[in-house]
Amino acid sequence: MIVEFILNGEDVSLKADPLERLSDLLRERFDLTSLMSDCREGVCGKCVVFLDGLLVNSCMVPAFKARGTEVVTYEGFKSTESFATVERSFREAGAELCGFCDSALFMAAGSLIEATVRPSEEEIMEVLSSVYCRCVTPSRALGAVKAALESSLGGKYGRAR
Amino acid sequence: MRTARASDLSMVGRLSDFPLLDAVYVGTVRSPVSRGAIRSISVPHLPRGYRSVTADDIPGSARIDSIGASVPVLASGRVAYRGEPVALIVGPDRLRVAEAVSMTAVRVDEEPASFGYEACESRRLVAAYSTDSGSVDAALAKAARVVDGEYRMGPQDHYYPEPQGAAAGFDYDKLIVFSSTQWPFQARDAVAQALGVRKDEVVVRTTSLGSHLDGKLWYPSLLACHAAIAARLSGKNALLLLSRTDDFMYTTKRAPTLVSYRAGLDEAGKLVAMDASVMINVGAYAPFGAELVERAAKAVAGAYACPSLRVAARAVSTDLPPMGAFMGLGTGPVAFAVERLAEDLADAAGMDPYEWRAMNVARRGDQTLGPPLRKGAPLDAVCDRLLAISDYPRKRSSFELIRKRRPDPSSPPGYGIGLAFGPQRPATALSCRDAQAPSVEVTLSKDSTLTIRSSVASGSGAVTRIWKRIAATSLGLSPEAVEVATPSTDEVPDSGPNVFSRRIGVVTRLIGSACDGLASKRFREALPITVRKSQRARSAKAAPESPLDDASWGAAVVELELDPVDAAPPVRGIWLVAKAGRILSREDAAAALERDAAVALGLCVAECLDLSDGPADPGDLRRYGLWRIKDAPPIQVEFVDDDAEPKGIGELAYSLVPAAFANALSQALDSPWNALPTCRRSEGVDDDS
Repeated sequence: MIVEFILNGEDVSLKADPLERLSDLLRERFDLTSLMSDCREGVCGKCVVFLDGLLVNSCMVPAFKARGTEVVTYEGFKSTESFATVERSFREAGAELCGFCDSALFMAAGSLIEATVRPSEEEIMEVLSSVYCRCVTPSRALGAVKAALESSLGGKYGRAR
Repeated sequence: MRTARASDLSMVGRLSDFPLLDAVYVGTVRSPVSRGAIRSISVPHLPRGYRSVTADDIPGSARIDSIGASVPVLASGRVAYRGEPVALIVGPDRLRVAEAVSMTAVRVDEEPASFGYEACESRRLVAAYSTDSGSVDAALAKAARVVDGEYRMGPQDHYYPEPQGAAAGFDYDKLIVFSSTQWPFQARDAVAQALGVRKDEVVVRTTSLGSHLDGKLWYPSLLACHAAIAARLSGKNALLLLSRTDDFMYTTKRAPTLVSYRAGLDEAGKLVAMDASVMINVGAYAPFGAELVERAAKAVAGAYACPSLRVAARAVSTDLPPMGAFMGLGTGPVAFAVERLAEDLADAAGMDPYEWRAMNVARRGDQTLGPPLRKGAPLDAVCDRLLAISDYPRKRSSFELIRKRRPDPSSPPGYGIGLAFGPQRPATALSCRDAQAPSVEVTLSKDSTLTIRSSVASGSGAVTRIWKRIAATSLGLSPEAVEVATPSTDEVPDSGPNVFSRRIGVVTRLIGSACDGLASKRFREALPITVRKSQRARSAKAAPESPLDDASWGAAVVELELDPVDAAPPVRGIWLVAKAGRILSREDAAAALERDAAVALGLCVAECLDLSDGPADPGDLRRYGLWRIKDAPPIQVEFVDDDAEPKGIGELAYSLVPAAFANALSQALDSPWNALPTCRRSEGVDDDS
């Protein structure tokens, strides 16, 4: 089938097996290697993308589900103000990451910044827990996201909190 | 399609992103049974450009033998565990390779397999270490109280952030291998052996490791051999990447361990004798078997003095995949056992656990399986602060009152707080290999930039920052003028395996020393100047030293409260204090210990694997509970000031938190909890025994 969607702001169209995993499609056809195809069961969270604004594990999304949607991967997310805020906050909080989970954790944190409701600490940890990695120091990651949220309050993404 | 020549790639971050020109993919055909004789390997007709590889096709040695064991590169004649690599399928299309692998039939005359290790036939004993000091039997006979205990730790997966793999390609006359390995020189030697070429004809470049928990010590060498053989036989770049499921089922796991003690106390509660037995399930081929038993045996007394001590440690080979290191070699399960025993002994003596430890801790001049200690174990220095920040004495007393006065003795008291104290022994060489002395090299260039070369370097991270800072300070440079070379065996010296916190405990010291040496030459010799430093081996004439003299020390407290509905043990807090020489970056060290404590707790309560009936299957991976950061309790970490040389802290939390957790759980249940992880089933019990 032909799958058409918006990928990182650009219209794309390609022929794909309807049941092909979105993660495979993005990695192999578009060379978007920021997302890892690790567990392939929706557990590790290293393949997250924004699908119409929602953070989803792309290994659990069949290609046909992507039709007509807007998909943002880490490569697209990196050009947003949310990324800059999150990246700076993680750096300043000393929340060092291993290079395998950075993109997924930054996107998870970005989803909180983009949310319309200010999350509680429990909600922050819940969202960060969607990405599995042994490199994360819990208090540092929490501190980084809280700082990012504070920093975004007065900015473009600090709406309706 | 991303393409590049192998020689053009100085470094790739992750193996899964590996870009290769004209590459072939490598699929692994595995043994379908746990033990038996191979009758045939039937490979389907392969299209042009595809080929199969069996042991007969290996150009050089068919075995890797530089890891204290001899492991077949591809099984030949017999198989020793289910999932053992038997053949490779190599071809340009990944999916077709996978299809060919699934269509390849391996026929094996199956033989009865054995997975238990607690009681075993003598032919399965592959390594043993025993020592005997004092008069154990007489001391136990005279003891006022004798306590028996059995403590078990089950197998667990390292679950590193990227499954294992390797890539290989030729650059003219050299084979370049990219491997996510803790020990690039061992991988290089293994590949050279398998290809039958000189070591300098093979270059191993390290890719990102992530949090490996010592799961990438030697197994990457096997995969490096597979990728290298595929590259050699196909004449193309070759890429082998395990899926997460294959990695979970077939790579090494924490070696299941049973530690048994019979310990005697005198009237006052003083430890007078200990008779210890350690049984370790090392799986097939037993890599590091001798290393595991020796290190485990030497750790059985923990931080305590015992005048009469007998230890028998044994490594048992079973028909499971090779088992091995997990944040250290053999010491973690023993640290758990001895600190659980300490609690049981305190209970038997009717003493507070801390007071019992204070009475029995090894002091200067005491012997704990080795020469007399030059320095005593710093229990007071570490625990004074720990007890204060955790409020351990008050909470312990309160929980004891609750335990003793609860109206219904048949229901658990529900509250527990546990203490554990112990060492992380200094980084030492692996005895299984004639290792060169670990070395580092620093070069000051004409443009005043400094390059640090070590085979255990990583591209970024706290340790790299520390190295840069030390070098910059020593030579009056800015940290930006210091770079750390990517580990590549043709460009860096052999610093040994990245294990036992070697990067801080050994390499940091060598870098400081090399920079001092360079500073003394700086204005006397023309640039560039290179200085190489190696750790000197101890002189045979030098007085023997106890490994505890150079250990880092730590103590942990874990507090928990049982859930009244499902009796799960939510942990309310972890406190950890360490004394590890000069702390080079307090913030980074605290963050590392906090992270380690959270992971160690997750390993206690969530990550369960039952291998009693055979190797793991895909269902085990789905059931394997991964600890999430939302489950981490508040964790407080502090350091005791210490002017000694910096020491490693990487294993401390993994030794201390499990014991403190189990001690807390034992109080909360009013019943000894002697096996971890808590969700573990009957792993290790041999039906045949």
